[in-house]
Amino acid sequence: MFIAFVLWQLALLYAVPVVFWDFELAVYWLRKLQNGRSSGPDIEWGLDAVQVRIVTIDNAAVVQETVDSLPDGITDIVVIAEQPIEVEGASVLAVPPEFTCAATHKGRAVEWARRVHPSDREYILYLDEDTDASALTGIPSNADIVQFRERPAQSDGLLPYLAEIHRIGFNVEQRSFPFFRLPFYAWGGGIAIRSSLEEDVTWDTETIVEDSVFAWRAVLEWGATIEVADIYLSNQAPPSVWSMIKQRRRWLTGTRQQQELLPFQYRLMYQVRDLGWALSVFAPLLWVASAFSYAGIIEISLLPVFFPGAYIVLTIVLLGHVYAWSIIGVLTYRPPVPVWILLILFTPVIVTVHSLGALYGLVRPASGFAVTRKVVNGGTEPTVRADPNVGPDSSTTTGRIAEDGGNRPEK
Amino acid sequence: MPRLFVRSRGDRSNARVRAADRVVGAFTGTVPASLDRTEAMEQWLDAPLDVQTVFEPWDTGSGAVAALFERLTAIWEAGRVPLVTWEPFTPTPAATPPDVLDRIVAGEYDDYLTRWGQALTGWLDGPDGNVDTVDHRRLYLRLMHEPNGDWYPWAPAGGDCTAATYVEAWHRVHRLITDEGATPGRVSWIWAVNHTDIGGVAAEDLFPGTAFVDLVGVDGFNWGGSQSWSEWQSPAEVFEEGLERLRSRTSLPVCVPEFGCTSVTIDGTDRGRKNRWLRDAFAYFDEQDVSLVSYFDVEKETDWQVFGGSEGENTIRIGGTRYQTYSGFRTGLRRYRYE
Repeated sequence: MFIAFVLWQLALLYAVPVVFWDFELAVYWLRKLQNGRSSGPDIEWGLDAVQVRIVTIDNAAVVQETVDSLPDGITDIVVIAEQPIEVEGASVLAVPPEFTCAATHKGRAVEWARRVHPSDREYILYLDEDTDASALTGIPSNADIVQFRERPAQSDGLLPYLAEIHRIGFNVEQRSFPFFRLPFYAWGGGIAIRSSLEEDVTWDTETIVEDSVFAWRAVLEWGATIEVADIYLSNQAPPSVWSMIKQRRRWLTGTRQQQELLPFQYRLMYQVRDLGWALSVFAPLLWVASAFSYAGIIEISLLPVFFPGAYIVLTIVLLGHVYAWSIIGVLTYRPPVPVWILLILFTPVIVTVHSLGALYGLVRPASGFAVTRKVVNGGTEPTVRADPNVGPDSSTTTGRIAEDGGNRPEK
Repeated sequence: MPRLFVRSRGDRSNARVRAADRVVGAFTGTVPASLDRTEAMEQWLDAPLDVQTVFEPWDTGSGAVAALFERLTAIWEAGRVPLVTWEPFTPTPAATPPDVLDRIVAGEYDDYLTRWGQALTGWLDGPDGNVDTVDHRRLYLRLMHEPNGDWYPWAPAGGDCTAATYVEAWHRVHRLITDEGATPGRVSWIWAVNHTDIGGVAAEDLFPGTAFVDLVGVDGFNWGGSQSWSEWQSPAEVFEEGLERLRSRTSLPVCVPEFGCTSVTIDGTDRGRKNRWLRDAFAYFDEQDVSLVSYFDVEKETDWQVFGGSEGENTIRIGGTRYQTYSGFRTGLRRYRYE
């Protein structure tokens, strides 16, 4: 009876964010049919309207590749670093160690840059240090915040890469954010912010998910508009399963810490999404086993004692969504055939790995940042040393830039 | 559930509150040719302009009055209130007699003014021709502007007239137009002077009186290094004297119906400096409680334009057309306009 209760509870808990995801996509398609963009469809800002800011600790080689990937029309490139580094084609601003403000880590660095290096460009485009931005042609919107799409590239580990493809599939929900009262999250690795909005909102908030918190404050306090641009910026997937777990843990922790900013219904939905994400660790595997059990392929029954038929239908629907995210990710990425075969085969396992970090963050919230290694040319040699002051479980939350690829809580 | 999370189309409920007494407009050129650019400008600003300024001579020719009000209708239907700068050029500067004010006072233009007043009243009534119905219209009327300069024939320092004649001519025009039904509240009369006296006639001596004016205004430009006689001036340096003098003369609301800034400095073009000037200007107007401002967005003597001019900081493409822009204008406008 208890097991049946748990199985049903898991399925229902997961069903809420899944239904909401369906709802988001329905809203997106409906508004798209109505041409309800937040900005005119024929508006594009030129590259001269963009100042690019890249935040790093001291990873000159990786940043140089990012700078080199930028189209020629972008001439205003700023690198915000912890110490002076040499980057050809960019102005390097080193954050003084003595600088303090309410913001910490990356937020502190960009807040310092905002104060000392104002820009007359219409937009500030924030990029991760390891971004391939060659697809950039301008800012295809007149919204105050323009979120670019992400396309992580494989670095060291295959499993994190597969998990990223799967995650990108789920993240198509981002397309609906312009039509919602608030975006559920923002990705700081490719986000253009109107410079005047940045001046108004500032980064001076104590948080480890500065990009999402900025977007929330911008919308709630300043009425900012948001658009999602169909331009993909590529950066590196976490190099190992462990680094991915730590990354997911930070995302979940950060957004949970800042939820007091959100309206009640958003807080509630976030709680359910977080729980559903974190507790789905073994759910897809259970669902597969249940389906096999129902079909008589295996003999151990993993069906609950009550409403087993309804349960199997629900779990197949949920499992269908999980696979749909993998398929959408594959269609977005268009990776080599062996990769998508692996992804489809191992989707339940990948969801488990993906959710482990969330479960970790739920049970033991992160109190600081770890640095995700970024490598040159997608190779295997890490060129960045981790910030010695900030470990994965560190309680030192002041100072220093963190490079975690932004704030992407999902599922 | 949808309403809890989803915004309705066009919903800007999170947006900051519009200040009721902050009206923004622009002169973008002749109408209707400039309407497309003005619409594009609004797309750039992501906000409508409240007012569109036009310059109109006293054209007594057949059909000229009707043609004017057709143009004003186009502006109104685009969602803007026309701000008519009504210049007693008859109808060109070259054809305008230097004693045009004396002629106005002598009643030489009464027929034209009466016709104009009738046409205006009809236009204000709207398509149904009835007063105070939902389709009624409004208008700002800036008559005989910058009389304290020496470049217009209606200015004592520029034409063959006195300050007293100017005031008398204003009263006559005001009476003839009002008598036709264009009453205060439907028409806002703007008396606007140059930010500083040029030619020895004090602006204060030209004030028609509070019974004949709804808003008083100061026109001012930062000419920077664009002219041999000019230098870079901050917004306060341009406007402070004029605003103070008007405020000491009357308690009427103040406006800035014409302002602009060049990017030309004595060291060459400095677009960043113009950008900052624009932002500072709006902040200054806000601080000074200026209730209406209208930008002179046309390249005339220098590169005044902030949208679609030859110079700019950032390029935006709207509907296939590329426009040079200054972010300082957009930023300043939004901060000025919203509480």
